[in-house]
Amino acid sequence: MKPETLAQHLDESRDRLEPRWDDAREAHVQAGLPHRARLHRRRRVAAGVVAVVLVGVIASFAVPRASQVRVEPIADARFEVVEQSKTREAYRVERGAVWFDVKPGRAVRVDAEEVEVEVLGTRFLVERVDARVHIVVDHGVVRAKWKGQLSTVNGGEEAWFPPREKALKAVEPALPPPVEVAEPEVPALPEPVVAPTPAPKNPRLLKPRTAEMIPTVSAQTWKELAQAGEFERAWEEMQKAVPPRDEPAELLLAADVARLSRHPDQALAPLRRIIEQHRTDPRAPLAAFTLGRVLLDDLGRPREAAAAFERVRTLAPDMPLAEDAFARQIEALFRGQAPEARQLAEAFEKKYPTSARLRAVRHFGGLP
Amino acid sequence: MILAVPLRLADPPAPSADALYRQYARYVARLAFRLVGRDGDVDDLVQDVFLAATAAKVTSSNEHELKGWLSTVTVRLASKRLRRRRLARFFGFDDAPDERLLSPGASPETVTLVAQLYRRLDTLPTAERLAWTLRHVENEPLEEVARVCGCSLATAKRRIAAVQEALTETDHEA
Repeated sequence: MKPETLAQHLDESRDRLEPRWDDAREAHVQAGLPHRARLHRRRRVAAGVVAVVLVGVIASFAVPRASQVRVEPIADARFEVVEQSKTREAYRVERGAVWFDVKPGRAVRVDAEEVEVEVLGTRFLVERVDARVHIVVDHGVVRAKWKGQLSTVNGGEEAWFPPREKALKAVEPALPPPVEVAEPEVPALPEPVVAPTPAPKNPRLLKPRTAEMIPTVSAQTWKELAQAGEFERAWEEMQKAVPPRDEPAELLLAADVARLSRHPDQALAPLRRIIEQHRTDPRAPLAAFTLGRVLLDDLGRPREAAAAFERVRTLAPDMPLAEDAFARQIEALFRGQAPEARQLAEAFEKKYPTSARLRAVRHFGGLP
Repeated sequence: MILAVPLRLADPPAPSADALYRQYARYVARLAFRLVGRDGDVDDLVQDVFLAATAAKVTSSNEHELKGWLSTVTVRLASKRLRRRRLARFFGFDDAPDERLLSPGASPETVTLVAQLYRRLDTLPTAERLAWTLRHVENEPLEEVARVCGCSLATAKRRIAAVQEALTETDHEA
């Protein structure tokens, strides 16, 4: 890329080049310090007795992350790290709702009130509501122990302790109850074509538990929260606001909010809207690329992802993004066990002989 | 902005380990992220930096000195991590890079370019990549880049120029 072009974009983006870092993550990283210190000591001993030939490769496997659990508190939830060892981790939810995303094979326990939750590779939510505990399982299986009784909660199910009647049932998306709204102040515009409202995943889980409903805020608030990187709150507010305008920038932002607040299925509609209705917009290729990533990485739908990545190449064949989209299309075809992956890999090799992605493309295409 | 100056020890009262972490964790996280370009690597790097601070028994209370010391250690540890990653990539074991490095609000062109930039940086020698990142992303003066990287000014200039040339070649190929 031209130095002046790069310099210009760096100047524009420098302040935005930041990790996703908040108080919860900061506390979580600090809590893992003692475990990492033990890991360093063990590593020093091992290095003295083991002859390593492929130092880099083996080291990258021998340095596991301090935690195999991604913890995402919602709003002002509070949790505590009780234990972090090589074999298991334990947490306590003290207030509010917290998502736990546990890598397969990792043993994790979460306590809340008198409820103990044991999992092995799953994604689930633990919420304290006054003296009761609410568990929702996104995927995998969770065992919960309460007053000596064991309950199993499967993916797509939820449970309350103490139980309500019919406590174990599939989670159904529920519409929030109507609230009095103030008309948001919007500038006079031509009548927009409104994108369909995405169905909320489970808005009950994401509302703060207060005695009164929080009144609807203006339509600008979810965008401001998204701009500030607070995607969970932005998602909550977006459910209460008018649907995003049918305008590429706003649709892209809405897709980001859905994606980054762990509602990837709700990102599909706004992205597709951009690609279908705004295909000449310069953001359409990026929307197609993002659609491909969501379908492949978040939703496990490789064949649809391959079609989305191919769309990038159709919309913008000469953009640098086309090379990346081509590589990911081949990866998606590989994951979908489509035979055309090999043929496309050969085409990629011819078109981009010095590409940084060539090794990966050869692997996905089954090329030597 | 990196302030790489020699750490003058024994300037009481020094911050406790907890206070040091609370005050500078975000600063270290941001620098680590910009150096390695992967959000997934930031937690480990931050932990390693503050464990090093504890082991070194950092006792200065001067913010200028503390930031300089922390940033130097961050660069050194980031260098190790990047070298390991390059070797893992050689054997096809590298994780997929982050596609979106910027917080929302940046233009799509900028988002795409910055992601491409970091993917290209991933393919370049670590020492050169770090020098270039410190100079052009962190906006450090050349003298500070040389000092933090532990090399001469001439070497720092050469490393930065090598990356700049590699990035320009990419543009010509595209």
